[in-house]
Amino acid sequence: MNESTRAPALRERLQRIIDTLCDGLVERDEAARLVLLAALAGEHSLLIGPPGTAKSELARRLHRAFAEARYFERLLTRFSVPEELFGPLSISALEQDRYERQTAGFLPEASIAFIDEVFKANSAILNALLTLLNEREFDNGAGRQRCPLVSVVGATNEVPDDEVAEAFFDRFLVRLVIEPVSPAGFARLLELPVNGVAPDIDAPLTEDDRVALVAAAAGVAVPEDVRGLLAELRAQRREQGAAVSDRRWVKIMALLRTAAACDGRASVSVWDLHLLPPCLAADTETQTELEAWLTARLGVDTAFSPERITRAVEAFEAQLTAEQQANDLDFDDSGRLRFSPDDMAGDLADDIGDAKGGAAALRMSYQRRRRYGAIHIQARTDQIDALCVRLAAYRDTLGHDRRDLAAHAGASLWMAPAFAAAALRHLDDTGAALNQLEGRLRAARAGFEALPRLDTDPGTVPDLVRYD
Amino acid sequence: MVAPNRVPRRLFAALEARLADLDRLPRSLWLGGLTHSRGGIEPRLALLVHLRTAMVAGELPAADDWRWPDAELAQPLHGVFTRQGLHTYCRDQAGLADTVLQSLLFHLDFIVDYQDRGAEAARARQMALEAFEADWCERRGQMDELIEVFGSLPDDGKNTRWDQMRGLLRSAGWQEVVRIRRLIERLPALSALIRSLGRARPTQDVDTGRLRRTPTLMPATALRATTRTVRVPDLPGETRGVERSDRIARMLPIESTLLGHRTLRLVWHARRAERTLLTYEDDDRMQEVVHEEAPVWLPDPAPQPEQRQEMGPMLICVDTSGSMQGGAEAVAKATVLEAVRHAHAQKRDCHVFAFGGPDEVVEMALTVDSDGIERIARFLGQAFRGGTDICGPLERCVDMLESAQWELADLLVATDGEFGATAELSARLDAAKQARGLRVQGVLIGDRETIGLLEIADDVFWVPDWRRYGHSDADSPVHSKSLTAMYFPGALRTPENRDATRSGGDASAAVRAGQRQNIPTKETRK
Repeated sequence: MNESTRAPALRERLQRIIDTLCDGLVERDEAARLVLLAALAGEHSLLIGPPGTAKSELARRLHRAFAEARYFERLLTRFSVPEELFGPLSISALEQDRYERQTAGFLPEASIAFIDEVFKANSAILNALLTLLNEREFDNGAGRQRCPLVSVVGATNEVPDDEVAEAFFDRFLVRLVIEPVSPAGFARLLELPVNGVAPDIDAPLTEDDRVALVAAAAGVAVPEDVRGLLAELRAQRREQGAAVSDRRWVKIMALLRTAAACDGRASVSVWDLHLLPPCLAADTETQTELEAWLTARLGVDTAFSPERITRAVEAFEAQLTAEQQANDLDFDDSGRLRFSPDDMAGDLADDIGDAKGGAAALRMSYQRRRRYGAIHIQARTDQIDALCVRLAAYRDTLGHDRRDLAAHAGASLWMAPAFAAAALRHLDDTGAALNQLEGRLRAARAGFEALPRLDTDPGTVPDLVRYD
Repeated sequence: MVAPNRVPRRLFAALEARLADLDRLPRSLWLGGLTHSRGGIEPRLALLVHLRTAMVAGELPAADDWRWPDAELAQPLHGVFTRQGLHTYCRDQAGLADTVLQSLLFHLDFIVDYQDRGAEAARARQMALEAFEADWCERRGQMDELIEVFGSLPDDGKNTRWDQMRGLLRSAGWQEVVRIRRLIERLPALSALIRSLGRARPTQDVDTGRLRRTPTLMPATALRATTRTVRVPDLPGETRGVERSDRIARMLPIESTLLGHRTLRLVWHARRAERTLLTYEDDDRMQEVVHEEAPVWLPDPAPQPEQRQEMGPMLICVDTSGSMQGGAEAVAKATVLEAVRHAHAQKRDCHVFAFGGPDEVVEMALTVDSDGIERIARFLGQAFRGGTDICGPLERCVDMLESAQWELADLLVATDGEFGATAELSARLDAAKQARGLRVQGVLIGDRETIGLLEIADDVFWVPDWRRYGHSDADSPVHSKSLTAMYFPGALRTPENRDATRSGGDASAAVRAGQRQNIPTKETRK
């Protein structure tokens, strides 16, 4: 089976797997997607949340997504002993002075594992467990044993504030904060069947699929803009005093490549980066902050009107107003237009000042209004046309980005539909803001064209303007 | 500038970056920089940034480096800048540099209008250049005058309203200002005196006249002992539960059953090695005394003499009574102008009271901006006339000293001394001197110090040759200002004199009682 036909097929199956994972659960789509993606990338995920938020249910469903995967599940307590995780000591081996465990059926032989209350691990278990998570090897007796471990899902109710937590946090790439169901989803929660059985997955992933996926991920390209953004993220984390370790960046890159490979894409896209906040921070607050940073950096956080070009449009509007209101009273006694940095005519109105606007009426009389010639107006409209061209480049950029995002949202398994919808809506609103800017420019152009004109040329050479 | 918490968006970043120079320019240049009838936006903004930074550094980039306007304008413009030396005026005066650039944009924008009114392109360019140069030629003259009088440009040249300034600098009042400015050159001692007014900066020498009355506290660190409870793990004291460890002494009895079996004792050893034997968890609590350094405040034992202060705000009372006319008036005005110059150069506040007769007090906050300069010119251009009532302005001064802005101010009284202060007022001044360390500096522009001035001033600076600054060249007819103290020592309100004199009431009562020879003084009455 060649690549091109297999990838869509794999994508279809993954889509079905994701649907099945979320079936019968409320508001767990994002968590399910990320846990699955981490497992596909061979990484561990940690679910942080209060009891009764379907954390263990997610983990149990995950193992059904993998055919031929041995599953192991354990709840840790302060008194858990190594036997519970790694298997009992072999007494026959002890009699021959070998200190070995019988690992069959325990964590060292499992592919998918769920460890509840993972932070309760005591010192007896800790080192062996951390080594197992990190290097997928288990020290048994004199030798090291390779473990077929694909992904461990850890769960915890609360995060202690000690170095044990730090060590674990470092091992789990994806750290999801699971919140209780929101008020909006509560009604659906009540409608769930009483003992809903998780549906079966019809085409679970085989070991071959996984190997092929890893191979495909290795071939995924990382474009320059993604690299740039990752470098910025790294600098941003460092600036916030929460530098992310180099190992984690390597794993993050693998995760992004896997995500692209699952969709059958040949390169990572910048839109994939919205998967990163759970990989870079462990607490909701920082994750939200990172998400805000990322969406803002990608320009999809809100609708906005690009700052500097807006200033240029406003400048033309201000210039038009000034020219419409300019009048010959602004000329000083030597015949030059009065130039005063503060306000051109404000003082003047004050000097003539009267409460009924008589000064303004005087200034707007036909005799007093300044008049403009064709060259002046031509210069202004040419400038506005140049600015319109500039604005068109903005619109092209926006259109390109929007098409890119829409295509990505259609093709990617991993992008949350809500995120995509919001982002697209914001991009559309930004487009509307650009159109509005263009409308304002056109209005300004019309305004310049409608400025009062100099009287038509009588055909004689006019007197020069006095300028001494 | 982009706020630090604002994330720059990637979308449009490349396009927006082309206009990045906007952020390096002040708002006042945006309009002219963005909407201009000549050339493209980007080279224009680039030139504005380039020229502005160079001018603030006091330099002028070569005409070939100007990316805007075209060469046929840039060359002559460079010439205008060089001829008028505009960049030298703009050194460290960003506000003025902005004004110059604004005016440059303004005049070049007019070229199309000249063309519309029938000028050839080359002629229109020429006209714009000439207008620009004429503008700045005139303004340069004004700047020179202002710099000569005030030492630097008002408001850093930022909001100078040139049209107003032009009229002001042509007024008779301004001529008077310039004349008085020249006069100051001949009174160096007066400048030094004014510089030392006010108390915001401590000088090196100690002011023995002022002792701090309020008890002060000195910060110090002291060791403070606190006790805290510390848990000491594994000390037999209190059993808290069961844990897994390798401590045989605290092992649960159930674990020892393994030891009785031949094979299982290996398991026991293994568990001990793994530290997974079930054991009692116990610890002990210990009280421990910790010494921490904590900041404390200790009272300062003795009132300390404080350092003498200078460079605070200035309150200046000027006598504008008719007796000051002529040379004395000129010296008084010089005092005011010098105070304003120092205040402007050193960013100090300065407030002037001109006092004449009763209800003839004029108050002015003298700042060096276009309005302030107008006020100064008006004040210095007036002739002094009126009576003398020192009490009103002095009361206002003491009132002002009670506000935070003027708390550290010192008072300067420029007068010929022809006045008297009421007893209440001098008592109030004394109280302010005691409580706030106020110092009153008198400038005597007359021939003899009067009792009134002696009573309110701590120190009197005498300008004996004040007649020379009027229209005569006569010297002072007296050799010393202290004639009163020499010839009428009993007239001074010193404590000894006060105690040795009888009030009118006491004297008449004594005469009625027939005690003509034995009138009680203050001491004997008590």
